[in-house]
Formats: sequence, structure tokens, C-alpha cells
Amino acid sequence: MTIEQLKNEEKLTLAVEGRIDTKTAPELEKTLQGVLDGIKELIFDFAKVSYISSAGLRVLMTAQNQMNQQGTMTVLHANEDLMEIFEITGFTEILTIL
Amino acid sequence: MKNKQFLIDSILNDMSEGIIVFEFDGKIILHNRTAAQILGFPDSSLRDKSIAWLMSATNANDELFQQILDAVYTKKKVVRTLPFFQEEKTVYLHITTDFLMNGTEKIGVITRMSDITESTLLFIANKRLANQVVDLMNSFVEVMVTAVEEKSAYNANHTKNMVRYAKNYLTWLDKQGELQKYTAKNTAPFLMSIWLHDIGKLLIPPQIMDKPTRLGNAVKDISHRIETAYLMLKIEMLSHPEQKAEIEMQIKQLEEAENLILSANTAGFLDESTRQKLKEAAKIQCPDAQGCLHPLLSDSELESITIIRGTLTDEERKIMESHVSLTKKLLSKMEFRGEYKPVPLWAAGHHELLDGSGYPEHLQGNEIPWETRLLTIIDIYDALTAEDRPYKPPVPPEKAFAILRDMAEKGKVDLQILNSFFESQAWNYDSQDI
Repeated sequence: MTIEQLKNEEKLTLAVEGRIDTKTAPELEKTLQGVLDGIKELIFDFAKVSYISSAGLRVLMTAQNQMNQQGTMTVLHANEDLMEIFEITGFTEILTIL
Repeated sequence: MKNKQFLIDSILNDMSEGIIVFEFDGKIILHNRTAAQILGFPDSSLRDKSIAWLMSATNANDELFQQILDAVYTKKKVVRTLPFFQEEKTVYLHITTDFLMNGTEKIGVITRMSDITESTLLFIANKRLANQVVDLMNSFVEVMVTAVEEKSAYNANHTKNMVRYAKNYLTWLDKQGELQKYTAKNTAPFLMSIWLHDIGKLLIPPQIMDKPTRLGNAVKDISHRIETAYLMLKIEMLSHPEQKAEIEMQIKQLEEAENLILSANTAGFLDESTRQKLKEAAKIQCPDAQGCLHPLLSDSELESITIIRGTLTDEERKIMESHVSLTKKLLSKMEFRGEYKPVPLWAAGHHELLDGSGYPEHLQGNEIPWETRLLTIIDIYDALTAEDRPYKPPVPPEKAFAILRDMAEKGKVDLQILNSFFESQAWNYDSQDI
């Protein structure tokens, strides 16, 4: 998994590529811990994400909880498999997925 | 209709299995009391909740949610046993997640969970106990190997070498993807049979087991007897100078006999003419310190010195060969179970040969299992190449394989195993870095 960061003042886009699984989710969590200060708009670009595990969902949930305090969070370009996961887990209710 | 719903609810809530059904919009549309209890929520509080909600309410059980995800990703039924962390304890759940179908249409995901904590803990306790039994068996083996080591260093080296060759060979065979074609994946019982294959030698007298020459300790008695005879003949010569020529002749005859005996004592093989000469030499009359005449060699000494090949008489060989029966007898006192059950059979059969000419049972062909056939080949290989045997010099590996191939051609050892063992070069590696 690789994470590309694009910061534009208070807007941060994280373009993730690969699998967000039990092994790589802690990496994403670590990245988020250091970069959210002062961010009002957080965007996850999942165009190149092929898989997300429950550990990945938990990282998104934690990020959403934090962004609820300071701004907005959006998930973009999730593929069909990911959308199915977001739907069946009810994550479509707590995340903004476009 | 109302009664029917009541009936279904009653059945669901009385089930010992927990049931949760998710719709594809993420909501729980149905669950029973047991499921709520297992997950640690009040009854009926889960309706319309989602996995996202459950995840936010509990953060230690993502494995359960992962299983649901796996079923969605793989589009297949997923069955697992997982630990589930409740507030004050851990339970073990057997969980099945599958699609709920209405004809061919997938209408949701159903998760069924059974609390199998009791049987899992029993299984863990049993497994622990089984491991303790294996540990106990291994320490018994260690005691036995130490006893053999104390008695005879070369025998301990022999067993250690064999275990090393076998480990290397089995690792090699596994890498070829062939291990399970011939033997169990768990090779520990087979290795244990190697550690124990010679424990019967603990009961074999060392003067037979380590007999370095045909005469063994008896050579000292014979030398002493000859020395005494020389002295007595020289005294005789001084007392009777007129018999000098005759006595000198007797001394010369004795010297020749002594040289013949000493060289025959250590020779690898004796031909018929040498054996005949020894039989003649044995009859030479030697004076003892009292002047009484005795034959140079006793019957048992003659039997020993005229052994055609090796250092053991027929009787000594029988005692030596009894070590396999003794191995079997000793191991029969111990209860080997499960995968370890064949250990005594494998260990005690290592001198059986495929053509029935082995011992002690004269087993043939299919009566000898693969493990014993391998043990036999490794045993012969190390016996031939060992550098520390007091009774014979080592042969190089090529010669050892030539001897083994000859045995295979005569139908005594398994040619296929021999070729495979040769290909592995198992003896060339120190550990399992094959």
C-alpha cells in the first residue's frame, strides 16, 4: 500500500493505492495521526484501492470521528467491491462517499 | 398469521445458536436473543443497527466483522472459530457466515454463531496434556540416549548421525513435494524411532559389542601362555643341552604359530588355508609353569581365531543380533500412542531385509514399512562410513553406496529409497540447511 499526500492549505487529499488490510491499516492510521492538525477538508481518493479490511474500516471510522470535530471527510472513487463493503457494513451511513 | 410470527420468534429466541441477518443496506433485519447475549447487548437492541454501529460499540472484535467482509468479498460461505472478547471474559465462537438467498437472489448475509468455549477450552487442555506426554516421551528418549552415550560413545555418535541424515533427507523429500507420498507430515515419531533403534545395545556386554579383534581379551592369555612356554623351553634347553636342536625347533614352531595367530587376529578375512594352519597351530603342545603340557589354543580360542570374516563367533553374533529383540522388548514396556504407535515397530525392524534374510523376524517385502526400510539404509550407511568403530576401518561414501547398491540388486534393501537418499546427499549437510 502507498499513500500520496496532497495538501492545499486546509484541504488534504490522501490518494491511497493497493490493499488496506490488517497489515497495512496501521500504516494508514500512523499517517493520519500526524497530518490532521488544522485540516478542515479531508479527502480519501480510493480510485486505486482494491481491498479494505475491517481494520481499514476502523481507521476510516476513527478519522471520521476526528473530522466530525474539525471539518469534513469524503471518500472518492471507491470501486464496486469497496462500495458493496461500505453498504453492507452501514459505513455509507457514517461516511460521505461520492 | 400472528401466531406464525410468534412461533418463529419463539423458536429463534430459544435457539442456543446466535443468528444475525444483515440486509445489503447494512441494517440488521433479524437477530435472536442468543446473538445479542453473545455480543454483549440487551435483547432486541440490535434491530436496525449496522456493522458500523457494532464496530463503534466494541473495538476488540474486528475479526468477527472481518469474517462477514470475507464472505462478501469471496462470495462464499466462511466458517471459522474465533475468540470473542466480552467485557469480563473471552469466549470462543464457531461462526458461519453465508449469503441468504431467496431463490437465486441474494437478499442478505446471515451469520450463525455458537458458543463453543467449553469444548475449545477442553481441546486446549487436551492439546496441552498431549504436548506434555510428548515432552515426557522425548525426555525418556534423552535419558536412553544418554545411557547409550555413557556406555559406548561411538554408538551415541552413530544414532546422532542417523538422526541428522534422516532430518536432512526428510527435509529434502518435503522440498521435492514427495514427503507425504511416503510418510506422515509429522516426522517426529520417525525421528524418535531412530533415537531408540539401538537401545537394546544397552543390554549387550561391551566385550561383545566393542570386540575389536577375533580373540578380544583372550589374546592376553594366549600371549602369556606363549611367553611361559618360551621360558620353560629355554630352561629345558639349559637342563638338557643334548636336546638343544629339538627344543630350538619347538621354539621356532611356536614363534611361527604366534605370528600366525597375531596376524589372523586382526585380519579382515581369513582364507581356508590360513584357517587350516591355525587349526594345526592350535594343537601345538605348550608347557605351563608347572611343566604340564596343554594345547596352544583352547576350543573356544580356536573357534574365535578361525572366524572367516569380522570379529564375532556364531554365539557372540547371536547375542549381538539380539539387540533388536531387546529394543522391541524394552519399547514394548512403554505405551506409544497415536502417531507414535509405530515407533517400536520401526525401531526394532532395522535389521530386517526385503528378501527375508534379515533378523529377528525374517520379515519380507511389504511386511517392512517404508520408515523401517529407510532406517535400515541409513543404519547400514553410517555403520559403513563411521570413523570411530573399534572393530573396523571406515569406508568412503562412494564405497558405502556401492555396497548398498549391491544389497539392493540382491533384493535386500529398497533400491528406490536408496537412490532417492543418494540424490539428497543428506550426509553432506551439518544441519537442516539442505
